[in-house]
Amino acid sequence: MILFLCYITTGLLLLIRDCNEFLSFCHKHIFLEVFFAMAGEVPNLAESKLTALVVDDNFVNQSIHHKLLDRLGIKNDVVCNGQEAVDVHCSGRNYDLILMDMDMPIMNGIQATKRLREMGIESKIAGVTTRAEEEEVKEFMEAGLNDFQEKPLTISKLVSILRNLDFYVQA
Amino acid sequence: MLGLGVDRLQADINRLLTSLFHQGVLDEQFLQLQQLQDDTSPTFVYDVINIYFDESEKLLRSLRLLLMDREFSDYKKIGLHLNQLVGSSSSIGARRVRNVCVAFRSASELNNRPGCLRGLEVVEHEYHYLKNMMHELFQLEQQRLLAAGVRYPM
Repeated sequence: MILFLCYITTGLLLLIRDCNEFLSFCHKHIFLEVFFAMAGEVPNLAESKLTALVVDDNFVNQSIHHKLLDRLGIKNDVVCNGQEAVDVHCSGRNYDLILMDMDMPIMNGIQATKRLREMGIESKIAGVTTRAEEEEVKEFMEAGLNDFQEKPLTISKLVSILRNLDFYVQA
Repeated sequence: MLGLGVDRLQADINRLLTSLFHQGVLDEQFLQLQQLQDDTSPTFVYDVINIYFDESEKLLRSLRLLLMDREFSDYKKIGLHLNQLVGSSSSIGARRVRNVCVAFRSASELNNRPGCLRGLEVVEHEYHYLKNMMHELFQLEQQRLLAAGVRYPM
């Protein structure tokens, strides 16, 4: 009887030890998941073969946005204003995502977005601008945007755009 | 011994960056730029900052020409130039330059010529300070890379 109780007790202790280890592993695993989420692990979307067009007249922003997309594995082209964005589509090119600045010479982002939608372009268009007044954002959205982000663009803001537009689903 | 040289230079770089962040000259957007630098573009930060300098100097020259004209009245053009400066300064993390450009832009929106002239002087001052600091940073980085590249035979 005593031996039996010892056997049962030992078994229970082993079970408790295993549970503790299991729970410890779970907590550690969850911690790591949260840590990486907070650290903003950068997804690589090269396999998805997404393409993007950067529409911005500012050379600094062109370089940064081009590099941000590159970093995420998204092949991209760059144009300097809305008219060039329209022209590149007229030439037969098409993109999954367009990052559209608002203030540009010749044709601004609002005009370009409206024109692209009139042409039947169904690409996802995300407006990116330093202007964040409610009325201006509303006008930009109503032109045909799918999403909007305030500049300066960062990796996490770009990932947010991709998530909002269903290009990226975090595992 | 050479390792100490690299360490000392790295410490100098860290000290300079800390100071620039502490003064509000740079903000976290500069760190974003550094994060984008990698093996495929090892001079990315240097390249982007130099594009910023080239573009900013053109804009500042244009602003000065506009405001020096006694018959100047094109405040809209001033606003457009300042939008560019605000945008690019934000994008590289040049917080103080960005902020003084915003103040300058407010003066231009009120068609306030004396305010614009003052604004331009402040922007030029902040811009040149930033440029000098960035040059110092790049020089230290260059020295660090050179020091790290020297090897004693083992």
